[in-house]
Amino acid sequence: MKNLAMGRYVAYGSFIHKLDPRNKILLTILAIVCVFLPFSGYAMTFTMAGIILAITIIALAITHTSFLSFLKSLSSLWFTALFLLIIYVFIPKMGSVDVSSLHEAFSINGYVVYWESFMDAGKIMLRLINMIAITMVLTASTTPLELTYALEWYMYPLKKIGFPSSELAMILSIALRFIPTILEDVQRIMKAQASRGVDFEHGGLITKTKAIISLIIPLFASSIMRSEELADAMECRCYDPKAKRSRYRKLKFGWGDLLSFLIIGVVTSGFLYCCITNFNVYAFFGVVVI
Amino acid sequence: MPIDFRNLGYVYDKKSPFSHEAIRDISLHLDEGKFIAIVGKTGCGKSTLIQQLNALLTPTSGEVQINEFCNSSEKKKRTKKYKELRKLVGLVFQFPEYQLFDDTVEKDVSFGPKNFGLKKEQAIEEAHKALNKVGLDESFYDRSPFELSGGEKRKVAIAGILAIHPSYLVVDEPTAGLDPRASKDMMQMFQSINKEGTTIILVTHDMNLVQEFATDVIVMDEGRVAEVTTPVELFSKDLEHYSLEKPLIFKTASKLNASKKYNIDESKLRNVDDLAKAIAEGGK
Repeated sequence: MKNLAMGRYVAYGSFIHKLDPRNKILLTILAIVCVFLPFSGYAMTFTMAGIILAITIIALAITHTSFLSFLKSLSSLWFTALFLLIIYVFIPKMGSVDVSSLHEAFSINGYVVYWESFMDAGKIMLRLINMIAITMVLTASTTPLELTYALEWYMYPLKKIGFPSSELAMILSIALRFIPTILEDVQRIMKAQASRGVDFEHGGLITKTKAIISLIIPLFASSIMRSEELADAMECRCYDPKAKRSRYRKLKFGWGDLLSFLIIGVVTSGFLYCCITNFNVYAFFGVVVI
Repeated sequence: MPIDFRNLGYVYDKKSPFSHEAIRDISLHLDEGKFIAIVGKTGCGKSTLIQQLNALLTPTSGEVQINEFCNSSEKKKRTKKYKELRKLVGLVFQFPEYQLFDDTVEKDVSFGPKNFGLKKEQAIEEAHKALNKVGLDESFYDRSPFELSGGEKRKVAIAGILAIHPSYLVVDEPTAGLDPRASKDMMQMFQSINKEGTTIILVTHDMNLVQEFATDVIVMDEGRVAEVTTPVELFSKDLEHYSLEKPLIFKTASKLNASKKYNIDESKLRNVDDLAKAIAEGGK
């Protein structure tokens, strides 16, 4: 159960771990924007995606995430890859696309399959891989609690129009806080039911459903009891959702944040420039690629 | 047939930054038919040890042999049929009332036997017998387990394991949170099952229970077996080292003896009645 969460937070205390979570969220968004910018020509698109992937893998290495666990989290993508390939190959190139400019790979009974279909599928796959890698950097280096505080900070302006941002942050942080507790509950109940002969892995649909029910119902019961206890405990400590709260650990924007912001900022503006001006480095140097 | 631990060790989350060695190098021989208590301070690996017995955890080193079943760190030696092993070794976790789920007590208790292949009618018959053993009568059969009191829930959960008829019954702190009367009933029920031939393995912090019911004691300390002994022998030693408290009757008897008016043989005491008799006889 514990190996479910790929890229889960591990307290390594690296440079990236110590960054301000608000900054990390912003940088993640910038990086994802870069992933989705369109560029002129496939060669340029793949080069730019490669650059992002390289930067992200360096960042992953800094957060001590093993390359192996990254590859493992990608291994579930193979079905998506297959699906994309089928979609791109079998959707006919028509309409706005100038068919004469495409490169034919092969044709089956007059149905022409173009190289461009494979390229497009590859492009989407690379985008997905980049997205996963970038979010892994964020989740591996930031505790869920830090993320909530950062989100609360970003939602601050909404408070002016009556949006309950700190209450929402409290709800989120309680929910996140109890994920490991509930996972422990799941394990404990699974073990207890396994001792009563429940087999969670084998068996037909009905046996499996019964097995899951024997897990879900006690889990619900204990979660509801836990939430009642928590509510009582909070009331005993005079919790008032409307009160103004201070924080033990203040979020601080430091030198490291400035540095990382500058690096990603420069990269993003470079990407934006290339995108807007339709800059193609291969055409610029006169190298001929497709 | 007995239970044999051979150099068994278990590490949680091996190969991760959170790895933690719970038990190490456990070699033990447990005979059938006994009432064995496992004692030791919190976090000494008792719960990890008992989970090896029905293969809920697989050892990271060494092995445990239960009758013909083997739970080993080596895949080749391991017996595949976990289900049969779980029928042989019934495990009651701490606070077992959290495992109740069905809509009636009867159905919940017959869930175990049904999983182990009994027909519905037979399973319900076993359920009735088990409920009878834990002291719940017919009026409970059709009630929802969620509307019972804490102690009754506990009884239902334990009946759920008893209905399977395990040869080894492993219970983890069965009396925690029960009122004195209920916990005494519970323990006496275990004793009577033990007399019928079931081996009981009791994990507990309560030395009074150990003195009254156990035939053998295993003391664990920091993931190792520190001692294998009998209650009488254990309580005649200094227990500070293991942070264990001596049982009340034992303390009382020692104090009486120290007053020089009495001379009570502590090794013969099992419960309060024995102590009362010894005092009445003047401890001569």
